[in-house]
Amino acid sequence: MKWPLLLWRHRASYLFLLPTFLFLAVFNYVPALSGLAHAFTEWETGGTAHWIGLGNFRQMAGDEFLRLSIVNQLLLLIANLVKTLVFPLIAAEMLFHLRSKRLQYALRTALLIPMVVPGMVGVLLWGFIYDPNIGLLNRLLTAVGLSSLTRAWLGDWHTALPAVIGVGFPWISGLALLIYLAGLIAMPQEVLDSSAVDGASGLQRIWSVDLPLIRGQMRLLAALTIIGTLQDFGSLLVLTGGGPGLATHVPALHMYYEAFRFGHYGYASAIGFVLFLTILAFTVTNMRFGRSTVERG
Amino acid sequence: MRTRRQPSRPIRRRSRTVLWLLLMGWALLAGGDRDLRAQTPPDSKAHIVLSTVSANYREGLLQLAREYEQKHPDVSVTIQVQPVNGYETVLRTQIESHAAGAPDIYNVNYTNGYYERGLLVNLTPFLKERNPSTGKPWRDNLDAQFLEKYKSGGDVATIPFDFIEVAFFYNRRLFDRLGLQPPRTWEEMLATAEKIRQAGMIPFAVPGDTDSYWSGTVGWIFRFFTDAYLRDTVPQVMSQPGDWDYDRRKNGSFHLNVGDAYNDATVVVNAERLLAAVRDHKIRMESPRFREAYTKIFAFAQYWQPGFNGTSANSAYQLFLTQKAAMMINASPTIATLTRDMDDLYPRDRFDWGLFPVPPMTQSAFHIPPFRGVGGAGVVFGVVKKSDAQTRRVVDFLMFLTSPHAAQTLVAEATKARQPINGPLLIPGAALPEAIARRFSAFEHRGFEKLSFRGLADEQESVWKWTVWAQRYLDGRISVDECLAHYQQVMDEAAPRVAREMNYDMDPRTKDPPKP
Repeated sequence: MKWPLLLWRHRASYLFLLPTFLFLAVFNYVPALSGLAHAFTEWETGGTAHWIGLGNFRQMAGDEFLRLSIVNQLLLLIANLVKTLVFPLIAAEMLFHLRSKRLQYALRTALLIPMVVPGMVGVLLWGFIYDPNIGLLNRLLTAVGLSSLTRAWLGDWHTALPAVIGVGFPWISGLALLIYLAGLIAMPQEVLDSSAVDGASGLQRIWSVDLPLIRGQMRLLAALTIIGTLQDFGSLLVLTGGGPGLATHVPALHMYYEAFRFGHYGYASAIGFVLFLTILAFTVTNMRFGRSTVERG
Repeated sequence: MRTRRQPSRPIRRRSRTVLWLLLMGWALLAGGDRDLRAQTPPDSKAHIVLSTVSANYREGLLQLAREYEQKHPDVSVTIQVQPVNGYETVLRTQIESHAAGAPDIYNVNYTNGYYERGLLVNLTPFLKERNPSTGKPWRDNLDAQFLEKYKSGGDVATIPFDFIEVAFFYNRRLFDRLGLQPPRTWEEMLATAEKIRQAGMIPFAVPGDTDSYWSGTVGWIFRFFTDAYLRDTVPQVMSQPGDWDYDRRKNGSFHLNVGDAYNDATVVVNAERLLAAVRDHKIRMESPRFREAYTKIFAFAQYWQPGFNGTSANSAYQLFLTQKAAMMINASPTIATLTRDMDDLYPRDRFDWGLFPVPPMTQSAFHIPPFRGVGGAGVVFGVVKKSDAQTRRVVDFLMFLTSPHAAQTLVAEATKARQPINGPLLIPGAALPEAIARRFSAFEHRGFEKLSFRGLADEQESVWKWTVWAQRYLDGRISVDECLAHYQQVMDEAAPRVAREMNYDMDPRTKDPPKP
């Protein structure tokens, strides 16, 4: 049957689908493609865009503030990868090995409930915890006789970035926990039995059996973390605004400032373009080299 | 094929029915809306819409609107109290599109450049007219100096109602306990701070987040310092004969007198001359004057709480309220906030507090005049250009709103509702309650900044880059010379950028049109 006839026959279904794709195109694809195109233009607030070729990218090469922010970004990326790949895995392994299914269920629920709290609320709460004058952390340190350790966690150049990394402690993300648990539950029972027969200790089993079998989940989480970290600037904007100085400044925040504070939309688009390419490169590398031997066959 | 098509028919039919129902519902809703509007009986009353972000005056404005409606039964007044966040966007959308519900009166300081674009009414001709609410010329009930200060191209398009200023708040109970007096000079203030520190308390609570450097406490400090150190620069950048904005009455007779805080209050500064002075390093960041100003600010910062760069405005305020810090710089609306918060404390935690103006500096390598105010008008109303009849009507209401009776109603209602009063009123003849007026005295008669720098004007890129270096400097991570060298670079980059963005041809004789 010819496709126009098929299209006509199923027109009601296509009509129902049309708004979804229309909105997806208008609000997702068109702005993204427009951003890519505007990366090669000079486009300021209220003005029209003028083609300047690679001018924005040359400007990026000489942008001292952007260069300094890249170092922060790399440190944040490494820290976030560790936070996402290690801590939820530890929690998932502990839950998985609980004998009491009822306790396992209760603890799993307890670990997942914080997911209902909007992320920005969590960030704001951590802002209060770090407050140098009325914050919980400094009060706690003072209460246990460690007042010499109190400081302006987000205002001190030495501690601002580590404090940002500390947000969300103990870093057991609900999503990562669920993904790991699903991977562990899906492991074939015969493999687990074989490792038990071979006399593998708990750690040996995790290292030699669990990790190779959940590498797919780890790769997915790594990809999501890379994308999330490179794109995220909201929490930094709320907590520190990138300061003090440039202590917590990152390229995505720089892009935001250039666009919505300084009105340099063309230059901001160029930063967005480079961020897109970076995320793509990281993700492809992760997918290519993170593939497990089991998956490769 | 036949067998596959048969069962799908009812499903398709249902889908089609649902689709038609949705479309019909949509059409009915859209049509229904039109019908409702059409059925609404035509209102014979004329409407005035006042849109404001001044929620503290909400009760007073509502009461005045009712009062005005009683006096003018043919007019109805709507008061819209809007959140600050998004106010500018709402205004720009409504006014620029000439929407039916666009306000007639609003806080015009949120839409700079609207008068120049012909969107606001020139109120100058109305100023000499009789205000029906007072029986006197309207001008007589307005603050002449502020009218001059906010003129646009020689015309009055904005009516300031009150003004906001900053001063030092101090814990009087603590001062008494330590045998301290409110300081009369900057040096005395630092000596007082030293004594407070030795007593184990934080002398000053100062927020130091990026917002504070831009529009808060640290920004104010840099502004009143640089204004004082640049007073003698005004003659270099003010409009000269032949300039498009030269006003002989204001600039022709101007003679610099740094002893008079209001000496340059109405002098017109030419933006292109100012930008050229920055570009050509006639105003130079790496100058001895800036160096001394920055060194003095650094010395002052040594008495702020540790980690001020990570302290928000609220956190700094809490330091003062909980008596951990002895002093803070804050704006005049804080008087009401502090009074209210003090009432909410347990009696044992309450304390008596006082105010003193930013004290003058006496030790300097230069002749530095007393610091001036860095605040500005709080509520500033303007009238949106509509029909002549509507303009006449709205101006009449604005005259009523700026009468001493109306001003006192606003203050009384705000006080009753435990809302802050922005600051001293700019309506001659309107008296504040004695207790409030006494508090506000520390904020008055100090003059207003003319040339001050934190970044280049309000250009956001230069402000942010300056903030980065200033935070590092006050944090002790770079020297004053390094900070000023970076600042000079920021200004060198910003000057041509600002000229480009503002479409300046850098010839002060020509008035440049806005960027197309």
